Amino acid sequence: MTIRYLNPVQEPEVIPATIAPRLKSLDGMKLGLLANGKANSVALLAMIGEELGANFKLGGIVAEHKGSAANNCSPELLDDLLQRCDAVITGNGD
Amino acid sequence: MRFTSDIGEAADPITLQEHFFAMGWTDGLPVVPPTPERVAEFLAASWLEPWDVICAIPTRNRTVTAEKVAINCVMAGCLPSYMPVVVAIIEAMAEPAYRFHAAITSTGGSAPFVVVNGPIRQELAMNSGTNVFGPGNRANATIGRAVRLILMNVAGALPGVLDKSTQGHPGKYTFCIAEAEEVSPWEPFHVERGFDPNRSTVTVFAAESAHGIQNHQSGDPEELLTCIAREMASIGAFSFGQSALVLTPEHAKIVAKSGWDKKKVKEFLFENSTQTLADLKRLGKLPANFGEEFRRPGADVVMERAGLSPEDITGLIEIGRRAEAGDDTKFSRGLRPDDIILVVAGGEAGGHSAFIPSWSRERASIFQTKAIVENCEVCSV
Repeated sequence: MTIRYLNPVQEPEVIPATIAPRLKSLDGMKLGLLANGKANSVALLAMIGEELGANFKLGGIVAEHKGSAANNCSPELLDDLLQRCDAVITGNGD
Repeated sequence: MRFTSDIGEAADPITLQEHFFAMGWTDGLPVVPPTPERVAEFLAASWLEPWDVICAIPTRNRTVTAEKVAINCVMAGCLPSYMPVVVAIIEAMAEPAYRFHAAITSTGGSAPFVVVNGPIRQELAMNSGTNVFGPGNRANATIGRAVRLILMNVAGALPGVLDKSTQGHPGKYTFCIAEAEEVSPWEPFHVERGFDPNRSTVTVFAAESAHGIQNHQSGDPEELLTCIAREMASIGAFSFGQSALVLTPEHAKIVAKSGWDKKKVKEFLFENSTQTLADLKRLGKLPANFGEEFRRPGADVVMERAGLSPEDITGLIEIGRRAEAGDDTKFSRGLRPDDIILVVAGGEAGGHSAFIPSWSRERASIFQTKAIVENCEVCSV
């Protein structure tokens, strides 16, 4: 006896994306630090900013916070960072 | 009925089961084969077309369709009449304040704890009495199980892959009860939330595992509720998140016979489920600089970006202010008495109640109550 069945899995919609072009150097660049709401993300990113500032002549640092690790960053905040920064670092700190 | 899902074939029931296990499509238990005919029965018993979108999960670029819900309901062992309940649960989880993605992927290992209210409990012969958290009732068991299979197969929360629960808990298999409205001395939970008593609802709460509270001695409400409050304040589960308290009918009657209503009960529990800041810091629950994040300029903007309600933002800023007063400061579990989902369920003999803490340590996930679509055969939705 053959049993026909329906696949229970929903695959995600794959959205093609390309990596942003790499900067040749951070000298003169404005660096964004986007905290994600994890317990130590602000402190970790601040340390990273300091370390990079010691190694490059940064054009400034913009520290922002997306509010929660549980949500996507809002389009408004992303647009704002795109306008104000040449590179942005984000990630976990736990 | 036309489906978009791929159709597979298995030579016999055992081959089908082994294939489903090998593909990671089950919760570790055998499933009912989701044949096209059986899935069609489930959709025909609802108001839904296969392609109807129940919800989107933006952080995962996924949509939950009626077809996939029906497939996983069949697999769980549901009856077609359970579909509206499962749909309402998924819709509730998709509310922004529930935090669908975080709640199903966190190391915290939450399970959606579901309380069903209203007439549908009898229509589906749900259990609100003896062994309410245990096995033996098809509706309780399979509704909760269907939700878990949907979270795995449709939302992608596969154990160890996206679901990073450090330990998880048994409620992740199924965690669904009906409230014992007929024996409760108080208004049902959905009525407390503003719904008509004859409207059926689900309340969904991202929960850790239940803590049993046994008390066979207390005949005084204050004594009994102090015992319960001590459990609610237990240091391992302590947080500013919400709680569910499932009072057994015996405990509910002890409290209610002295004239305590739900409001008074929740206020008492909130006031008495406390820990000092000193203990919370000393025992690794809060950092040494706790409160600074709520006092920092712009903290309200950050919390608004996190999707917190204005009331919760105000509440957490107040917590930050109070933390400055020193480590002797006492904090209650949660932010307010209404953070407690107070329901009555369980057998009528036995002083055993249950406290269920929130997965969320602060306000990342807020419980949601959703009406269930009923009378589907005449529904025009």
